[in-house]
Amino acid sequence: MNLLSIFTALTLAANTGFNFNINLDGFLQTLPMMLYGMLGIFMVIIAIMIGIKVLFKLFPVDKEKKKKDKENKE
Amino acid sequence: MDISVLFSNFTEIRWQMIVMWVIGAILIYLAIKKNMEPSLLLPMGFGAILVNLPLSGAVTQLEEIGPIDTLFNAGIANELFPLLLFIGIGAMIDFGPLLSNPKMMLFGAAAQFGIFFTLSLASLVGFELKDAASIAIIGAADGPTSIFVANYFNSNYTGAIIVAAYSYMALVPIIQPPVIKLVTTKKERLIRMPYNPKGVSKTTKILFPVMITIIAGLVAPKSVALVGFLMFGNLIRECGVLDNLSKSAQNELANLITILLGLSVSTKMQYQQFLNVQTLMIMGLGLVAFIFDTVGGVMFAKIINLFTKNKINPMVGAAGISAFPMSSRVVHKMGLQEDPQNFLLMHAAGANVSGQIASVIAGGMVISLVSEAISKM
Repeated sequence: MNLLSIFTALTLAANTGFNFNINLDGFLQTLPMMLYGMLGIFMVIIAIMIGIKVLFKLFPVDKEKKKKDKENKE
Repeated sequence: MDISVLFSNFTEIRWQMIVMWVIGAILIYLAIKKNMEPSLLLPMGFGAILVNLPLSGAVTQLEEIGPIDTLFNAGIANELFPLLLFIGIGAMIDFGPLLSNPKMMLFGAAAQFGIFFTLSLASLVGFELKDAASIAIIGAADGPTSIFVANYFNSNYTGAIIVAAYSYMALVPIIQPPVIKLVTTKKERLIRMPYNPKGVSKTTKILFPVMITIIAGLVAPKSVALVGFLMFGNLIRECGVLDNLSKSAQNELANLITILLGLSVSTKMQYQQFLNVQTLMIMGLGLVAFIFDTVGGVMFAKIINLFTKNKINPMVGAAGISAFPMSSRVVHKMGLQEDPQNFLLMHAAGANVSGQIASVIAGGMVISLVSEAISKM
């Protein structure tokens, strides 16, 4: 928070003239991006979760332990 | 020859340069005294002074190319440094807590909400789409991803974005607790979560980074460079036969790149580009991104609780941001403050590690979606 207030003071002090304008069209243009972006992230994450489940099924810890024990005995 | 030649450079000093020296000194102070991301803030702070000296030989002056600009072009303009740093970060991450409790991955996804919220907000207040996207990615809470995306879009505000990203990452213990308290009830914060980790086989740990790279590459091809380098680092760590390479990636490679990254980024901190109201707005928007990341994670946990028997402590959702391990520690500490017997660390660590993957994927998503929108303009 301190950092923010320091920057606030410094940048205000160095004001080079900002043209503040509300861009409603730009805002509306980004709304589908918000939807698709979050959807995309969840899709990837859910795909990864399914992948993890498959890996657990294919390579359970018990199977690997048994294999190691067998190798040790041999 | 006149002795005044020795002092001629003094007449070139501008008051804005002095402001930048002060900012550089503040960054160095915060790095040393407050231990805030010192490995990045210190080189950046020193660099800010270096590039803002009158007629500084460290940066390009007319036709004389400065070494900092050479470094920037060699390592950041082509996105090489952030990617190499990702190999080191990947080698540092233990995905064990995540693999043993994969449900936590969902919080990593939910806690990227701040990125897209900030994208809309930055567009609303008048930033160009490419700059709004670069600013929004501060919410990834991940320095290399911020650098990668800001540079991809050739943003005019790269310096301010990187300063904001690293500063807020260090400020996670200050930013998150009040936000979490604001959106949760005491009853929710008291929810206990038993920890019953599943064992994870070595083969699973080895195949995990390969699988993530393939999935991310198929769904979000723009993220594959970031995800791929991160996962390559993790594969080196988990394969068990490259211990020396793993240690080198975690230490020598990461340290070397960090030094060069911090210094070369400072070329974007020249007063002409840095001292303006947009910098102030970027600092504000970065804070908004972190706040809404936290809110997104917490609210998602609350939504899940509506449908499940085994309730999740919503604070764990807040750990879905990428700032590792600060965020999981914050959640764990808050849990202990509410109930000294409530240990949330491992759950929070799972969500936090997942946030690292999700933030990189979010970076790729932002690049894909915004590039497409820009190309249609």
